Amino acid sequence: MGSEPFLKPRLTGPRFGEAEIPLEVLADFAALSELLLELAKWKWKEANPGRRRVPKGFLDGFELRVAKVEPGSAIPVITLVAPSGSLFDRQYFEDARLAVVEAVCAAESGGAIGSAIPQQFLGYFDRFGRSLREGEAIELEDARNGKKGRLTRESRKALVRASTLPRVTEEGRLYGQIHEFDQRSRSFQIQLENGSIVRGIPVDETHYDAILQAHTGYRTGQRVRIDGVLVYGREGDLQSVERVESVTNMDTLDVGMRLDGLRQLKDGWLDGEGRSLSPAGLDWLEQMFERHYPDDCVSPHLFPTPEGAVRGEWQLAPWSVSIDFDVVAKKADCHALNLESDEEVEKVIDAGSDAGWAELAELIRGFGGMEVSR
Amino acid sequence: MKAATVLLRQVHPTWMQDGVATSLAFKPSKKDSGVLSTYNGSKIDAAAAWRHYTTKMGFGSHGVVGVSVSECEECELKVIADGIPYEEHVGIDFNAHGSSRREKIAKKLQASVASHADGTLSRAFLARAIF
Repeated sequence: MGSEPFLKPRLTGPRFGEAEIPLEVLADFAALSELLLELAKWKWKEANPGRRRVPKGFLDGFELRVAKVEPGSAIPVITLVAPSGSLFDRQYFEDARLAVVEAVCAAESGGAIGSAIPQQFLGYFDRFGRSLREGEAIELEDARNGKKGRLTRESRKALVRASTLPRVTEEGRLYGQIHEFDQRSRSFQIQLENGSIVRGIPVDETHYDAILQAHTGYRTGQRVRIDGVLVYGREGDLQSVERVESVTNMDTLDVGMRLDGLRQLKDGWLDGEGRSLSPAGLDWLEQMFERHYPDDCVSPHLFPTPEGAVRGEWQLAPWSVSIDFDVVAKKADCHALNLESDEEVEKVIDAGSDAGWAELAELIRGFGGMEVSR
Repeated sequence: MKAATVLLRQVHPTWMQDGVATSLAFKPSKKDSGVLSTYNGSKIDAAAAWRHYTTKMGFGSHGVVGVSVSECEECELKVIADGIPYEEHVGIDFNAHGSSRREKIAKKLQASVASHADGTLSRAFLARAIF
């Protein structure tokens, strides 16, 4: 039995620093393995047009394994383990690898995906790449000719849309209130922050009590965050939730939840005026709050501005503080008014830097914005 | 207009979070041409103003907040009962002030609403109560 490097996909994005790969991402590679195996069979059949199926046991012993992870951001070295004396030629796996790279290239550039991989195999991309988040990518390279393709959330969606699947699944997050829980059928409904309702979400034993508790808290405005596998129609419309992976009770001023609500605003949201907010900019702002905003500081109320910025407001009597975050230029315009003395403080902070957020936190603390002091 | 008259201001649904209206609701946006639209609280109550705004005018509003004429005048704002485009319309004119001063005024008016919520101005308290 022999093995040698077969594929070295490069994973880029914040989660893949230091040559590390989250375990949840490894499930994607199990789907890639299945895809390559099926494509190798297809390539064999193409080379043997008189044969309807590969001979029994032909692929026994073939296996793809992650042998090690190299830095840059993270590069799993995948080897193809082939049994000695196998009748099946490694060449077919290499042809399959090239087909995957070409399909990803086509999806990325808006080219003809079907000419690289037949439609019936594209459904594997519903699982391969499902765990990718915004700003992350899996770069695939065919070692023989150096051809490269980047699998991102967008190119993966294009691949699944080109498949025969009627839907696209994606790991994602929902915020809302659980207004209905059917304990008999073990399913619930959630009303999202934009008012729309997602029905028939299955609950397993692990999350049963959390859902029940959130449902009971509906009257008092209890909001939850649901992480799981979301199901979208081919037009990108959210249809259902395939699996709930975690349920978290949320604070009413949770930044992620609020920004998720603002994400739904379309141009003209303010009775004809008002620009929609940049989705990438909102992702950035959420990440910056998560990373840099101190737990001991009062959470802001957040509002969209007509110009497409996000305003944070803190009522820290006698101070009324506002910060307008330009989520594209990554700039924060701060204004504070002492409602008793009329004293004003104005400041522009570079919100794109760690130092800028440290300055921002100090500013809020300086106005008495510590949780313990309120 | 009487100094104690309450001016009812509609608050867009996205400009209300957890019972708090943003100061943006008290600052004219581009389409306002420097004049903030309100309803004359001595001619129409908060609930009727909200119904008129959301059904007849067809705009979005989470509810109504109130500031008094005297609070506007303390901020050096002109209050104009023009009756256009509807009979109860009152404009609060910010045109004499630049953007920095408008920001300050908006925060003061926002704070006035918060103080009314404690019941110091009975009519505005009523306005708050419909949220």
